Amino acid sequence: MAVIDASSAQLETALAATTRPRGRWRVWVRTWVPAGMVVFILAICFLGPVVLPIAKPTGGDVLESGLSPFSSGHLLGTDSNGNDILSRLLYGGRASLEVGITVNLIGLVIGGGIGAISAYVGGIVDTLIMRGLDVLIAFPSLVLTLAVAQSLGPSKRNTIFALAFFSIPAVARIARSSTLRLREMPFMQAAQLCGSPWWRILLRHITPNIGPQLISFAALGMGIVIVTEGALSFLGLGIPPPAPSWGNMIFDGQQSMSATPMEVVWPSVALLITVLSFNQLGESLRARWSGR
Amino acid sequence: MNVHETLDGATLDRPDRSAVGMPGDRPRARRTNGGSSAEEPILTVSDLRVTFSRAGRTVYAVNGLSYEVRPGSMLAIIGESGSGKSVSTRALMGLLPPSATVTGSARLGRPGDDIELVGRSEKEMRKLRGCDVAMVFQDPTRSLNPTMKIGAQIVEAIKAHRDLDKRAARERAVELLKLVRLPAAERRFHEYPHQLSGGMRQRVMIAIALAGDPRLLIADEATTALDVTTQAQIMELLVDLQKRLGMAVIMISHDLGLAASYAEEVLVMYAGRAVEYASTTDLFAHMRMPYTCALLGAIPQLSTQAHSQLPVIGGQPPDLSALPTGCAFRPRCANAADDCAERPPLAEHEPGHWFACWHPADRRAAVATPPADQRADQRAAATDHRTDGGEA
Amino acid sequence: MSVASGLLPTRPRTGFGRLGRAAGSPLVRLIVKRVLLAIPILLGVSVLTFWVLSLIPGDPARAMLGMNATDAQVEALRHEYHLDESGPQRYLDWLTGALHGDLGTSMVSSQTMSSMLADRWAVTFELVALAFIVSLAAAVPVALLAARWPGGVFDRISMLCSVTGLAVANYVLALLLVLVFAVEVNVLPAIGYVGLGQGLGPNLKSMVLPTLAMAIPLFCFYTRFLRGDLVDQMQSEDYVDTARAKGIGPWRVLWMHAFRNSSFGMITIVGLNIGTLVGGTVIIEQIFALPGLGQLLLQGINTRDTVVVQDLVIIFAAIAVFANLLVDVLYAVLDPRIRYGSH
Repeated sequence: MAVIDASSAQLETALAATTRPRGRWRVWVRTWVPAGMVVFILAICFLGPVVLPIAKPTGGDVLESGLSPFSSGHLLGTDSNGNDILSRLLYGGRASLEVGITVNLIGLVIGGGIGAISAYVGGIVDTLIMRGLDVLIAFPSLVLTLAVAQSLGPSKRNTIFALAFFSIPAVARIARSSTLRLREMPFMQAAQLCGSPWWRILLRHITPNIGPQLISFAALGMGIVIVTEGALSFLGLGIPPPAPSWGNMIFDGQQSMSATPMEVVWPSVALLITVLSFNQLGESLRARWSGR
Repeated sequence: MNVHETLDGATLDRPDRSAVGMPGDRPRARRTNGGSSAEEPILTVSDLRVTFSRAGRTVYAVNGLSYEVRPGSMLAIIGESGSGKSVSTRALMGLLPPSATVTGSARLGRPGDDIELVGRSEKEMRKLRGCDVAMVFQDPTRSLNPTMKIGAQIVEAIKAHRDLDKRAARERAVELLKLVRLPAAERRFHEYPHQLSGGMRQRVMIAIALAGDPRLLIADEATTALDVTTQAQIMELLVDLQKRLGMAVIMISHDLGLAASYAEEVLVMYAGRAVEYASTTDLFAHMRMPYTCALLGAIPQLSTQAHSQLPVIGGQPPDLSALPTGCAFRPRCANAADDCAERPPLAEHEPGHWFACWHPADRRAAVATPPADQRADQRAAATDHRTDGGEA
Repeated sequence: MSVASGLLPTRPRTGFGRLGRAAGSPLVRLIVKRVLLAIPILLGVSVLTFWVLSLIPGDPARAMLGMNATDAQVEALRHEYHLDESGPQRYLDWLTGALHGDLGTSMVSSQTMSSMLADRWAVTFELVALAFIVSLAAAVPVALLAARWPGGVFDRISMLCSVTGLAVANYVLALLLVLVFAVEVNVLPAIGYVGLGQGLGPNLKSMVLPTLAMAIPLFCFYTRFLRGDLVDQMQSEDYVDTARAKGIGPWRVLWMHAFRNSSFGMITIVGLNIGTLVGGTVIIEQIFALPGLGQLLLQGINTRDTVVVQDLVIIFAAIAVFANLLVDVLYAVLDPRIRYGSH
């Protein structure tokens, strides 16, 4: 009977697929539109200021303050300090993305490493590491980053440190649970029986298997990190002015919000679109890689 | 029953519309145990077709299925996973996802007083479900709601079709639990599914199915997830209930041996079509369809030499989105020849024995069913040991 | 075969006896285990907070007194706040005090922490509680409606809204709400807090915008989660098929079967959110000038009041730990599989 049960249940798979009435093109759109948006945002923030004729984001002339959009040389106008809003938007985005990418890389490498090793080694090491992560996870992320940011003082580097502090345990947990599942797989046992050293098993067998899941999580993490970085900067504990970031632009604009609401709207919209793109990319990658 | 509109009942002798152009009469296996042979069928399925469409791809799950079930009898539908056995019965219940298209006809009830199950709206089907047709699912662990007491789940089924007050519904539920021989029914009423053993859970599932006094009970692999001992107890219970309540039962399984022991008639499905259809005795006396033989061959038997390799059905089940012309079993069939490129129709080659094959085998089954009287003894023995206490 | 089953020994069922349930019950065991797990986490949280805050360069006493203070004054202040002691010693002193209910005294306002907490906790509690109530009360019906007809118009609209809502930072949302309701339409107070002492109406009115700023992202999150879980269950769970096969109505299937099971996942999610939400009060209270714990933390950070910061960071983390503990227990109490033990 096992023979019959083991036969590829094609109808079952067909049924499972049909319960989600999704066209192929919709799946395509859901993956590639956010991916395209992310590429576009990265390109315009990192290359835009180099390629396009854009004023400097800082050191604006007070005489040129509060210019309306489409004034000469200032496509989106200037803020109350006379700085070009578009330029600040792009440089601010660059800062946000740098922080986001660095934090997530740190989270992926260190958190992923800790999680995978913890699960692979198991035993008391695993228990200790997990208890340690429990402590880190207990902190509400903003509170922990506020405390760290205050101790280290506001700067881009310290913002990255502070944010990495809560990014690591989240990734580590996911890496750990995936590795635990992998450890039971026959091919892992086969690799162990073949006498592969542990680091080789981690690199050759575990990493490629948990990688996709971690990367899709990191895409979702980008959104969280960018929003939290904005919050830190908004509270004056992130990227220190006059260097632009979306968070401190929103804070600056808030002061004169009733008079010039657009100064808040531009960075807010940029933040929204960026976070939305990363969230959707993460979602679709997760859907794709979890075989759904 | 006021919802049952009597549709045109005089269409029974209309020509069969199935593509193979078989004779006008619908397959009807010869009854072996006399007495009820005169009885009219309670379910008449003709030319049932189910397709699923997704992203421009069409999966042909059931392709012109016809059969009949008489009250108080059991029909076994046998096949591999993906043969359409489960889909074809879910279609009768209206339990398929919205991507499914069902055509053909399935009439429930005696001619003249029958209702069409195919093509009804969800709202109409809801009134029939549980009341006229009920279903028991494969895995009793997953098919009971883990967060509701079993009593509440049965009461819910009772109240779905009858306007009873709380107390009366409760009493009826306990009655049903006793009917399915659940030990300590009153106490179990207040327990959650996880506190029961697998066999007990399946008894509760049967009680739920019986709540609306169904005329037809579909047991979809109802014993597959159970251990062999419990499997036998549940099958005995089903057979007993079927006789006592005069229900018709369709039992879906991939286990030909199980069908041999309990069902009166067997229908073997392959790639969404019936390929062999006969009374159990006829079928096991000489199997004609090579696929049926192969199915039987895949079951280990006591007579098989120890440590010998089990025969397997070679090859893959057919791709239901691109069915081959001709016989669907051809690529895996030992008897296949050139003329199998034309699909053999399901025809009554011997009285009461229908099969769809140009080059039939003739095999007397080694695990032939025990004679009828012996089977009765077995059942009597089983009913003496009704407790499920042994399983945990 | 049936004969054989009668001869098999019956496995004794332990843990189901009505009498033996309380003492050795899985529920009690689970609660004890969770509480024991929470203690080392709380200790770890406080140690980590102490360590992180000790990284601050410079001397807090000197910073507070300014450049003109004499060395003697600075030394006196250092002594008053035990800053002249070693880190571990200070931690032990703090821990002893905290266990006796003494959380120290603010270095800036000279108020005791206990009196400041007493003044402010209710504001934060009200904000968080209102945010949860509003978001859940809105999310459950929306998710049910969306899951009733997946892919339908309502489903699509609600999913579009929640996807967008999830991407909006709460400080942006707060500013947007102020801009619309307080500046443009001017129907609600933009900032400030009216205590319960001045009547429930004015109090709630002052809480509308802050509550919405916290509740809307949460609502989006819950709607999305619950809708996804409901649709998953409706499509793949066998007990949903059983329920449908009974012939009961679609709403009842959705509510009694799918939602009932989803609610357990919801409880976990809500528990995990409590910590994040309490942390989020820092920024919302700042924007709306609510005199709560979050605002106090930010004031502490800006005035470099180490005692306030360290106590509040630990309190926020402790709230998250206790919230998770509470949820674990609640889950165990509600889920019959845990309540009555499981195989």
